[in-house]
Amino acid sequence: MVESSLELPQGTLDLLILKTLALCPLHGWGITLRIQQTSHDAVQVPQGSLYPALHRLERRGLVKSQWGASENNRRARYYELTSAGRKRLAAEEVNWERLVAAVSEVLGTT
Amino acid sequence: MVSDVAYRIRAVLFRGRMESELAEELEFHFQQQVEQLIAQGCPPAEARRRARLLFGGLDEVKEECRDARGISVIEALWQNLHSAARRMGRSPGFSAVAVVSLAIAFAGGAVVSSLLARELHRLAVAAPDQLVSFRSAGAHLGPCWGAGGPDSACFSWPMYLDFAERSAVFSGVIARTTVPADLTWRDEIDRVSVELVSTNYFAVLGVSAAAGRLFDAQSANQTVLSYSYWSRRFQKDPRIVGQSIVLNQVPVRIVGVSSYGLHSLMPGVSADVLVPMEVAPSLAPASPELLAREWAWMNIVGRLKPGMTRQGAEAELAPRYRRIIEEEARTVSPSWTQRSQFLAKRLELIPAGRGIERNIDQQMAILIAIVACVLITAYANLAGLCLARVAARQRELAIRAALGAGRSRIAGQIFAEFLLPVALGGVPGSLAGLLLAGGVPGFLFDPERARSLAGPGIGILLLAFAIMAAAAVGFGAIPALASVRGKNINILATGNIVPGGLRRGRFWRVLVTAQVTVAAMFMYGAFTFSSYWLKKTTVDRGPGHLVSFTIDTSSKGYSGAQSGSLFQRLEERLSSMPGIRGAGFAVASMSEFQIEGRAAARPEANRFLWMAVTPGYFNAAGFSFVEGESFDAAGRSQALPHVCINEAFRRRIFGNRNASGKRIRAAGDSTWSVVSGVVRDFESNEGKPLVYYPYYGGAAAVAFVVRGDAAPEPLCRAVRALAGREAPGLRIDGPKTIDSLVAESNRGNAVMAGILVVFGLLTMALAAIGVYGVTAYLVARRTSEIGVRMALGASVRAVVAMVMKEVVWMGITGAVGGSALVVVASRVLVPLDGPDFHYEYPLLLSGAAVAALAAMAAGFLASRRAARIEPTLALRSE
Repeated sequence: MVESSLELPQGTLDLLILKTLALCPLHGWGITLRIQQTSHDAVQVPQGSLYPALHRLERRGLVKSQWGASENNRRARYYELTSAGRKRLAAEEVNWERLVAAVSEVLGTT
Repeated sequence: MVSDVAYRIRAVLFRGRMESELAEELEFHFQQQVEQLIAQGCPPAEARRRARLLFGGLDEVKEECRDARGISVIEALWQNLHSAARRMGRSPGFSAVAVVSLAIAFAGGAVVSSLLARELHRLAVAAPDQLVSFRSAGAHLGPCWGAGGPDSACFSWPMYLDFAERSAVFSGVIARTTVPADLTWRDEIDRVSVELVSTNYFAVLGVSAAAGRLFDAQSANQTVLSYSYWSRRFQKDPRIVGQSIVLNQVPVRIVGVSSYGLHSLMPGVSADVLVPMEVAPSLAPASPELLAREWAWMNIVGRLKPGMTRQGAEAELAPRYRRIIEEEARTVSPSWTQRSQFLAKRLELIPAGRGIERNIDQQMAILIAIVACVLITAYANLAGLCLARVAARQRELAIRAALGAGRSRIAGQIFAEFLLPVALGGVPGSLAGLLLAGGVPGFLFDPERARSLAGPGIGILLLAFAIMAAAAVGFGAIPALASVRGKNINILATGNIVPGGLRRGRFWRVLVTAQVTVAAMFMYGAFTFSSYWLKKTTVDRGPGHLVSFTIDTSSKGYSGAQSGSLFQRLEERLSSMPGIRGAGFAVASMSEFQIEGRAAARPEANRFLWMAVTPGYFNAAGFSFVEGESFDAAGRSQALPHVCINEAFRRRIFGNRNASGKRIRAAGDSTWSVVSGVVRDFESNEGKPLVYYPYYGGAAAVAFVVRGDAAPEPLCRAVRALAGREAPGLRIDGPKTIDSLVAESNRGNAVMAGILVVFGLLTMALAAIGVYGVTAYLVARRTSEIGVRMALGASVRAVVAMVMKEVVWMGITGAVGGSALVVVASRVLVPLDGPDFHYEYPLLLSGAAVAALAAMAAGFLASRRAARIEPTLALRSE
């Protein structure tokens, strides 16, 4: 598992969190699981960085949080996207596409 | 942005809840991870271990979350202040001096900026920017009454009429002056300040009445109260309007009250009652001369027509002004030798939106300089102390940096150590200063003005405090930045404390030397004033007792001749009283003097006090002559009149050479006067140059001196009784003994001496702190060197001597520099109006010695501390 996981480029964690939350509100653990699932375990979320990132996003008003019950009926903090977060996600997605396209272009020419 | 701030505030306010929520959130995650691992087949203990590994340090994550939430900025600030307070507590003595010196500096700053704010306060009139005041620098041909401002702003009544008549450039021209008068209302007499104004005063200023109406063209014997006097004396009673009061002997009717906030156009002068100028001749000493062209006694202020510039107006008025002074020179003083100088006078128009210009700028600049000096040295010292601490704590700071403390965190802590004493001293100091400025005695400024401090005044205050705060941040940044500078923080990597750094210490050494210089100067000032003060209390005034009183005929409206004969009759009666050794009187004034063959650089440099005295005055006062003889003995039959001068005059002008036979002339005199003798200085004169003229008559108020054999108490009674009989109904002040009068006049000196002693001690304390801080800093940087020396056998004494060498050098350089500056200042500043500035070597030496010794004592303490280092400990710090 460790061998197959990818190092996240800097700044992409925020994008992944926003994208994951775009579907439905999740708690931190849920976000970890969802990212692992959708990337087929290719992306291992650095757990130590997840919560600081969430708190930073909340401070910036891109996500908001509230306490709710988890699947196994424990108290958990759920994060959901704000409208500002949605706008940011759209912008970041476009940026990402352009970056990937540009990088591929460069890699393809050599 | 808004949500960011709100989030941070919430994070601070609900810190406890946020913390527990954070713990709960992370715990939930951890448990889920463990459960997942168990589900994958891990034994529970192993699952926990692996979960912890995956998660990383829990505390670290929490700290990062706090950072992300923005809590930690405020938390860190709190912690920094806390540790700064602990550190202050560890050296209470120096902390106290630092706090007190900053408090005094801030109080000074608050007072000075309030004064400045008040000075720059705009007049409460319509369109104040259109107002310009007339100014014409140069000699006056006739007497000048000052009107509360500089002579250059003084003009005559005919001059006012010349400019008021036709107004191509002005929409209105007004005149004003101030005279004191007795205001009688229902048999109660109050001494008031009367603002004599032209009748169009209120109309031109565009102000309204707070009660009743303001006077107009037909305003003979009408008066308007100022708002402040109305509130003070009549408690804003509107029924006072229409009543009659008596000013000196002139009955006038109160027609109204001027608008709130309207003060005299002359800043700092109080105007209780406003009276039309037409009343002046009956109000002031009856003098038809008041209306003469050579009598300058009023300020002229014009309101420029819209669109008219000052330069345009000056150009427009120049030819007319030239014609006027040519006529004046022709009619007044045909023999005036410096006619061309007088004719070169120009008329200038000065913006008067903040009142008529006064000569306060220099005083203000000196005050600002003193306060800035004290503030800068206080800041610099504190910064120096912090720097010394940083140097001493290099290793600790480096370890903390290695353990992950951010640079901003370390710098923040050092910054807090600087800022805390600033806040502790600055806040109460500023408040005290503002309170003081609000209630400083009336001789500094009008309290009513202080209360109406508003508008632009607040802006200036805010600006001043912003500058003081910015300076604090600037100075605080020096040690804060030094604490995180690369070589300091990488000390663990290089394993080496940065040695001595002679070059880096130079700035601080120069600074501290400068402080010792200033301290030496202030101590000299403190000693000088204190010694004056001590000397004056023990003076031999000759046989019997000397008493003095003043008598004023202005409220009776006597003519100059009437007053003169009254005074002379009183002198004769007093002299012939039994048990009286002598009696005489004098009248004093100021004039600019010319000395034959010596052109003054500036006319105001030779502005001296002169007294017209009767022969009995010299006799009664017991003056003796150090050279020549009294003008009386020299006789009046000579071709030129005789005058006497005092020692201070001779010292200032003739450099202690023989002055008899020299010729001097006051501005306005038609002929030269010959010096017949030089009078010995008397102690209450404070070394001011003085000229004595024979009394020829006139003057509304004079001062009598009487020498008698009786004890002071009965002597005063007898003199008072006689004066009361001879001059019934006149205002007589005294008599009092000369000793008590000197003591009274010394009260001002005592205040000055007190201020100088406080500033002397303050600057000395600052210099001592500075020396201590710099020595400690230099020593801390040489810890390992000192350790090596001591390990190699250097004694404590040798180490102290090594450090003291520098301290002594700083102390002596500073003290010598301070003395040299005093000597230079005594040469440069002499022409300024004020006491003759001659220094005394013993005082100069003791001032310098005290400052130097204080500096050396502080340095000694610091170096003793350094020498107490255990050699092994010092070496281990390597």
